[in-house]
Amino acid sequence: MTRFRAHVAAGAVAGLLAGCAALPAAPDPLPSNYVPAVSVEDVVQQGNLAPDGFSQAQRMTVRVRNVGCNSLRTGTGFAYDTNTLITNRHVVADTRKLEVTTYDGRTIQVTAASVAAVADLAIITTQEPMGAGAVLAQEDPVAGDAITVVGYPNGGRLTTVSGVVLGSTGDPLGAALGQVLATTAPVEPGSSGSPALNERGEVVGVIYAKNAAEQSFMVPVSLLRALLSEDQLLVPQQQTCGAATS
Amino acid sequence: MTSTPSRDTERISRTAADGQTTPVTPVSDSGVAPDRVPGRRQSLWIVISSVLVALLIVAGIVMYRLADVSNLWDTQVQDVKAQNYDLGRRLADEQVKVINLQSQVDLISEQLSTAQQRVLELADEVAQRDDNAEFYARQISDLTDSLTTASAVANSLNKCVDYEQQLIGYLKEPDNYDPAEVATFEAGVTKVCDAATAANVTLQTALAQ
Repeated sequence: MTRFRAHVAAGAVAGLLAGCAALPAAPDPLPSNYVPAVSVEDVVQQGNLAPDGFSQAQRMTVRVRNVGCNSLRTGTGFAYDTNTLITNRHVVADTRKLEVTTYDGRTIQVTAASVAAVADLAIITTQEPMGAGAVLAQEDPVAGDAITVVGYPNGGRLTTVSGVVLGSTGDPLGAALGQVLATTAPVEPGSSGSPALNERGEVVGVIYAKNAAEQSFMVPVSLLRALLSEDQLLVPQQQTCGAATS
Repeated sequence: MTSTPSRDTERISRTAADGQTTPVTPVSDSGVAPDRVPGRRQSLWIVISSVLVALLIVAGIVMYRLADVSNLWDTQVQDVKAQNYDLGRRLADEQVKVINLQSQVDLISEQLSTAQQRVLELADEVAQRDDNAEFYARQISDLTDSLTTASAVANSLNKCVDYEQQLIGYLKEPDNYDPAEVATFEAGVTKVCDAATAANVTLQTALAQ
């Protein structure tokens, strides 16, 4: 009987201890700061804007003035690297003096120009650096792709228009080998040499012509890449009027 | 009649049932005198009392502990409330800042857009001005060429007039000059005048264009 009582007492004590163990614990100390840390790098990356608010496409696009032997013409070009511009061959034809004007009104003298025989393309070298150049797309656009054309239609203000690639076709002017691309982007005289950009801002072609149906035509970037990789395809353009001026 | 302990009572009751005897009702324990409680039962009461006292002590400890924990939780709840109110106030302040900054951003974006348009307009004006400068430079060059040509034509015409007057003088005094030489001179004057006239026509045509 005494043993039984001892067991009861032990059980009661164990139960009490177990009950104490089941008591709610005291709260943990509160954190001193509930604000999560913000990475400064993330904040900086969110503000990746040009210093003057102009887009890269606007900054790289220039107005080309061709003071010819008997005429004054304007066109468009775009920076390929710091001192090299890309435009159309017919923009720099019959030239006596070439000048390029940037989006913010700076005039830059041209030191040399080379033209391609296989396409309506020309390479211009400038005296002063132009800043960041264009990024060329790896592949040509296909029918249905959206494009943006930045240029100086009619030699006026810098203008941005949009369009869609209609597909490849033969050169309506017969000046280029291979296929060119037709688009719906509205262009005017003076837009020649404008870069056509895809949605990622990469150059996918160079505008060079339009037809009566308001379709524009561009040299595909694949042909431009081939031209840039093969120097022998370029012929130096003489900035003199030759026999026409004499 | 005095009652007996429970076992005797049970026996008496059973006897009463069997032997028609009067049943005996047991007296309650409370009526038993303490000096008559057996020792076993006394020790049981001691144990129970001890357990109850222990339980009372433990219950007191538990209550104290629960009160302490409750106070701690209450304190923390108050702190959390205070921090929540502080965060809410800071959040409201930041929202006001965000709204103000957003309105400033909108205004600055509008100003930036206006400034960009103005930059493009000025750049266009500069380009047009340079185009005009080139055009006028070409016109000046053309006018200079025309003036040079006109001057040469004028010189040629003057020479033509001079030669013709000289020829008229020769013809007024035919006896003083060799007719053959006068004829040769006349042919030369005609050639000079024809050339001057042709140059003048060319000049007039160019100026008309």
